[in-house]
Amino acid sequence: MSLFATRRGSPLHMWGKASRDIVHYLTFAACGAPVTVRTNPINYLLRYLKERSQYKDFYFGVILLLFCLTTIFWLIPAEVSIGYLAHGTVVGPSFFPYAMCLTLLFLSILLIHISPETSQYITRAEDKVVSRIVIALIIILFATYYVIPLIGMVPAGILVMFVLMQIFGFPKWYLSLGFASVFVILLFLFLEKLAQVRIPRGMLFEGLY
Amino acid sequence: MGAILDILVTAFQFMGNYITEYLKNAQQGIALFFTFKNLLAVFGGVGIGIFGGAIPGITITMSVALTMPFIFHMEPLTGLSLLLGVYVGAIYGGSISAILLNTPGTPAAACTAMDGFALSRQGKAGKALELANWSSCVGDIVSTTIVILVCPLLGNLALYFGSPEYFALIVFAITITAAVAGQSMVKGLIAGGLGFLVATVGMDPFVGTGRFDFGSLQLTKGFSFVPLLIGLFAIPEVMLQLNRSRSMKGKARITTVESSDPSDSRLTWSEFRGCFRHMVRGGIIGLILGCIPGLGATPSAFVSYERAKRASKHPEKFGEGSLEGLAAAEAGNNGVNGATLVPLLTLGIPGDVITAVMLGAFMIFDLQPGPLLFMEHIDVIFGLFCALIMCDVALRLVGMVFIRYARRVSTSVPTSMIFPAIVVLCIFGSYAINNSVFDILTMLAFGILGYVMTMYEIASVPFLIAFVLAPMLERGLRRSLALSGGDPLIFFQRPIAIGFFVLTAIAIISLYRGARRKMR
Repeated sequence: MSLFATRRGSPLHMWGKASRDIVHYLTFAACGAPVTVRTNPINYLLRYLKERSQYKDFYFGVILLLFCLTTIFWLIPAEVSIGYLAHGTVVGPSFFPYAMCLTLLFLSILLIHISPETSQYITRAEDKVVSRIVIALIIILFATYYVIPLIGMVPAGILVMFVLMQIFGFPKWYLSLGFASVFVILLFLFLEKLAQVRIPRGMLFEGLY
Repeated sequence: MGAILDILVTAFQFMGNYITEYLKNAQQGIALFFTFKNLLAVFGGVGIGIFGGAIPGITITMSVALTMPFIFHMEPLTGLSLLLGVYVGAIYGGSISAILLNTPGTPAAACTAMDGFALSRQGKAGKALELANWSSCVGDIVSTTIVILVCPLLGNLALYFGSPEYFALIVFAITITAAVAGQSMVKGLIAGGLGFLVATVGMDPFVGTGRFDFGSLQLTKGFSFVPLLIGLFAIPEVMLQLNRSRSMKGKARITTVESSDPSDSRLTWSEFRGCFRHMVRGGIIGLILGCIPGLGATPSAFVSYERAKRASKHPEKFGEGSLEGLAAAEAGNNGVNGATLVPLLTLGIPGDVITAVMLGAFMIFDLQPGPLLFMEHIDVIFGLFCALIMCDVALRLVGMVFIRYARRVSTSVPTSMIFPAIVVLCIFGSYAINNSVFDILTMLAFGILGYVMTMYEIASVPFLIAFVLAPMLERGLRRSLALSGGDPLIFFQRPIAIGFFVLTAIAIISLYRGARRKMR
């Protein structure tokens, strides 16, 4: 009995409160009573969302909710091919994606609901968690990925390491260039000669080394 | 009387057969392990692990993840020995920066920092490092020996495992994702759910049709484990360090005091003897807690420390530079090394992130940890046991050299050199797995996901465990239902499967109760 007892303010208690309000509204609507500000579900929902939008986890919950809906209604029907062989099997290829998405959908709603308990108020400092320097790092890494087919992995590796050492505040640029070159070349030699991994040379330097 | 005699005779016969079989398998394992390559892998791995663990900011997971790409071209036992070496070395390495800088290299070394750093401030850094090294070895040897003796017994379960039992086992293992969920269980479950969903990308294992491949050949193969692992654990750490490095530039400085008394830097025999019982107790605590999936080294270190404090004649010295406290924390910390492998090897359940990584490594070599491994590759299992024992020998020898010559180097390497080097290792490592540039993109994408998860305080461990377990769960369910013609009652007709479902129910109830207690 104590297992399912709800404490004031706990998620279960809050779910109970929300469901009571909905039943309240439905009863009013069924009786033909006028919809008041308190019982209007749109107002209720807006007030509810406004209250929760002050918390960080609310946004994660909303993004996850949208992701799940997109996956359920668009991605799975479009991208999970059933195939004629699936008819012979009891559980098809789309079973697990659907099961996981529905679970995540439920969890995202739960996260939105309990966001006041799981996260802090959003402050200005927290707003800037993704700092410019991290965005710069992400751009550098993606640029490296696109540059590799052109100049090869070794020059790209030296370049990215040199740039990152400068960003991290390494004092002397020529030392950082030297260290980056030695490190990347040693890594290249280890992978090519010992592990027999062919490192891409890139279009510009193909056949040069 | 006759019945008792019969039982005794059967028991003796079983023991006799078990010992004969055990010795035969041990002989095979020893023959397989003791080659120059394997020994080099163990010693090299321990060295890399100690160095990585000693650098603040480089976690055990990151050390192991960065080693993963280099094991692909090795033989299975050599690659696994290297990973084990890195793991054992990194756990000990965490204590070096804890003692010298009061900055635990790993979360498990937080307990070591309490007494270790106090000893450093008294000019006894050498003694503290030496004792930490001995305690790590003794704690690990105690737990590993018991694991080696008992583990093969559990392997006999293999004969009774079919698809329904596997499915029930994986369902039970999934409850672990909730145990490692971190602060919020809902967020942990979200991470687990995302891990499951990501694992469905690629070809369907039964009918061979694509899922979420968007017409791309690379996505048809699904996401590779290693780029995902590196992205999830190494890249977010670099991003976080980059954020931090803006506020604290320059080298980490050693703040210890050098004592003029040479005896302060050496561990004496009487001091070692005084701490020995705490080391053994710590090893046993590590063994017990390490076997429980989801607990790991950190609680083990704290429980061992607490028990030692209660048993000590000088509890008031704990926290002020007590050798007993340091020994207990380190032994408890390292006692889990072998023990965490028990659920992995016998049931195929990864209890924490490191064993999830190890599970991935086994799969890379086409080995499926779990009951069947004991039937099909018993030589590899005993080879791994040899590797575990050799890791302790290496820990002592490499640790000794490290303490004497390299401790200052590791604790004073500037972050401006280490983290750019890690990024380059991530790029080359991700590529080297399948010679595929697409894997670099995978690593970057999961790096960003890992960073976002860190920002929202969502643990990445459930994601990784779910990603590893998902294919097994799906295979187990679909194969069982295909066998029974779609009748789900097949799961409730097998005693072992029922047993695992009961355990799952107990685990869920206890997790729910734990969560409620935490809320209060």
